[in-house]
Amino acid sequence: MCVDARIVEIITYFVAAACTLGIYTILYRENRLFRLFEHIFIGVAAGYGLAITITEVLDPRWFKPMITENATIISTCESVRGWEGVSIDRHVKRVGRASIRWETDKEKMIRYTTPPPNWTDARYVKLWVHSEKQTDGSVTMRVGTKHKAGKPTAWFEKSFKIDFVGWRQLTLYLKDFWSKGELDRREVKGVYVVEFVADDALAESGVVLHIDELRYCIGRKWYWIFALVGGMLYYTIFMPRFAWMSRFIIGIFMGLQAGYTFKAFVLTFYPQIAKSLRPIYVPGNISMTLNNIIFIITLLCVLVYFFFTIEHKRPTIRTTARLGRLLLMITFGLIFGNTIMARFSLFIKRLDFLITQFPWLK
Amino acid sequence: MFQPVENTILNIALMILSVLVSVVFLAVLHNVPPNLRMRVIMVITFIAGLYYPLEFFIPDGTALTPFRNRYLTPFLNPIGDAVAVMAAFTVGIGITNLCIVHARNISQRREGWGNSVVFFISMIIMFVVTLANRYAPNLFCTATAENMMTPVQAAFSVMFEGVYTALNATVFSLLAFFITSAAYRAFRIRTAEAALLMVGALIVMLGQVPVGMWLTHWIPDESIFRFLRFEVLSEWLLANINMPAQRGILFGVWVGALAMALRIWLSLERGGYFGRQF
Amino acid sequence: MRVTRISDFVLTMLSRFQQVDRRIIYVLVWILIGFPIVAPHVGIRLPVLPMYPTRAARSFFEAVESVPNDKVILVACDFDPGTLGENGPQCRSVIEHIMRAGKKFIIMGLDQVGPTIAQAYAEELAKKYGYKYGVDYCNFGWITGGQMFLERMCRDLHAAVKQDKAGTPLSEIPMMKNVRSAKDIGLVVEFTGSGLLPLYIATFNAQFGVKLAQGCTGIIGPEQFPYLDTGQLSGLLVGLKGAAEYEEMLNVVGGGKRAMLPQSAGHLLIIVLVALGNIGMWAARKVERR
Repeated sequence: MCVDARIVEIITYFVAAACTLGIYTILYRENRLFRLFEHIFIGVAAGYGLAITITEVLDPRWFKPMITENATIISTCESVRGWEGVSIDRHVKRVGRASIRWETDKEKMIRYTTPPPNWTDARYVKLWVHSEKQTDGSVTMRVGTKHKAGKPTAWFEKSFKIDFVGWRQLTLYLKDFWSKGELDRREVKGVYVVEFVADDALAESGVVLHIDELRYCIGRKWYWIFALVGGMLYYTIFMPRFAWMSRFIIGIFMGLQAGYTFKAFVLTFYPQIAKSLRPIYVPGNISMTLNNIIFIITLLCVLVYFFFTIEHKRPTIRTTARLGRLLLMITFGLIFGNTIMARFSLFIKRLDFLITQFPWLK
Repeated sequence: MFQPVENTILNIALMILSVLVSVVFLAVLHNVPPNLRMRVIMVITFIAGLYYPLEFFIPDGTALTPFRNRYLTPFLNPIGDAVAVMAAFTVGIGITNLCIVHARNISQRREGWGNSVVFFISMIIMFVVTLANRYAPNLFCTATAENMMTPVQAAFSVMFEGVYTALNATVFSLLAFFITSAAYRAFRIRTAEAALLMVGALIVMLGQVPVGMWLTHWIPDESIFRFLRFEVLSEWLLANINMPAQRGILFGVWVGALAMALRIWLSLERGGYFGRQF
Repeated sequence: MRVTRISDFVLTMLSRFQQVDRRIIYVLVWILIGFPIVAPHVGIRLPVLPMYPTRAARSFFEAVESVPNDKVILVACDFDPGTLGENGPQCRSVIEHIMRAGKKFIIMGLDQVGPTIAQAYAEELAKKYGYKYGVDYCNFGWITGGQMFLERMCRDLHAAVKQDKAGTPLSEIPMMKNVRSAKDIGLVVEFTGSGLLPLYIATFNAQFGVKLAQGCTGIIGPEQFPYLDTGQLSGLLVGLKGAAEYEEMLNVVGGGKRAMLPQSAGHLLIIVLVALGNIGMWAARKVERR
């Protein structure tokens, strides 16, 4: 049922050519073909916009964090890459194609050396553990962090008993871990190793353990439902009785944006003011001197032209404003020239596509 | 209070409870007089607008602000996330409006209602194909070779590149014709300003293309008349006349934006949407 | 008498030319733009005209070259098919330069379609330069939320974006292991037809000191020069000419360079038409007076 990509390319070309020429019929005169393609365009744009909103924004950033555990995989346990003291087992597995096999009598400690370094917001660790027999022993999971270079490793660790047979999913809450060394519990950063250490009882029992899908989780963010409530408020604009609710949410966003404008004013605009202060005379550089003088004259004249608080009656102000107007005309001419270039570029690309992408010419 | 939970049932229960609390809150607000409602909205707008300036402008840990110590900065992340998600919900407003207009066309059999049917068909097809391409590209088969495509991928390629991209680019390319026709019919040099505008446009138009560069390429690079080369003159005009003029305009734009932001933040803005009573 | 009749005739024709059917002008546009594009395919050799990259384009080139090897480049594709004619060739030539220089890059965009278009360019060029998705480049897709979300991204990329366009968690993408925030980004290159540059200046540049370079359409090109002057922008490509300049520096022939002859023809047409229109206006006045 699969199709050759080349055939799809040819079909795509002819469909695109038909759409292009259909739109260009408006150049002759208003006609139904143009209206048809115009409505197809609006429909396709609306459909794509909606689909991409769901797939790239709402699903990963709202729905999944609200419904799923927001897990970050520490190790899929599908290969031994990053692991020390283990082997791969493709027969005993819980998730995926394989699991990590740990012979506790041969290796008392196993390590995973390439975990994600930043466990921000992590609240618990989840892993599948398989034991072939019940024991009195336990395993300690240790997480080593080195937040800054040169600092000693800080550890946090938790033990769990291997008193079950078969697969069991363990949930280890980070708040229950005990820590050694300087550790910031609010943000777990600089994680560089995860170790599992078997105690003596476990090692003596000789049990073979399997570990699968090791991950840390943030949890289900139920409070994201408020985003749905807030988002739905926008749609009350279509219901006159409840339209005030849209004002509510728009007010919040306008407030946030207005507040951000104060910040953006400083960040974006202050350098513009600073760079406007230029020396009128630059020793040894006549062209820079001339350029600076022209710059200052242009800037001042344009500012005076736009200064509407006082009337442009006095000769000084009137002349300066007139000069500013003339300089602005040159600027608008430059913008017009660039606009011509921009508009032609769009048509050139379409014509280029129609001619050079023709399948048998390509 | 707002902490993630592990349990699925607890998660759903909390979600339902949150919706109920929101509905109750909105119902209470709905039943208060409109004036009071507007005041509540004004207060919320003000509080929302306070966050970014406070977070940015108040310095950390000074003698005057010993409590500060980056207290507001941790909220940057959740606010940024919330803004991104809620901005996505607004996409549906335009689409809803379009659907209402075209549905009305069809129901009332207005002139050109067939085009409205075409609108819905093309919207649904594009929506389904895009979702399928993202979530189920191998719905009918799996492409085993590099030069093969699944039917879903092929359909998306045709719809996206063949229809959407082509139509979008073509509609904007019509402007080339309209600007040519407009320039020919309307551009008349009757005043000094128009003449200056045309001179500036002429220099830039020739300076931006190889033909213009070729016309003056005979002027030696090292001579003092180098500035008469179209590309050099064009670049000089852009950097020394256009740039300060644009900066002057930018001054006005930013001061205006600041004033507007202040008016919106303090709910002083009137007229149009702001003046309407809901 | 004859001279007067001829001059009368010329003046009358020139004044009537002002009312010429606009469709004739459209046909002229088609012919003059189409001829340089068709010519190479029918064996007509056209002259190769000089192209001198501007200082702004050269700065853009140097900005990409000077990105340290341990940092990535963020390619922000904030354009849609409406400005594909200009931003497309710019984006393609810059991605080719990034690959040629061996730098890693991330595609994203504040527009819905831009990242999809850039992905197609990257996949095509990846075959030529041996680039692998996930190892040398990746695509975040569409980003909503404006500058408030950009600021979020600057502080913690993984927590903000979470997954790439295809749904793969960022923690599982090899190149993203050491890219956590704006500190790991060496340059942001933005391609747009709208005034989105201040959003990046207020976030990446002003707060985190990340260099910015922009490829913009011709219409907004002049507005970006104040930012170039202050150094907030490290390089600028304006319109299709900017793409052609970049290709010239890369020594490739792409969409930008191929479009320069048709562009020249278009500009000459506008100049001739405006001149004829003004001469026609003058001729009409003379005819009226007579």
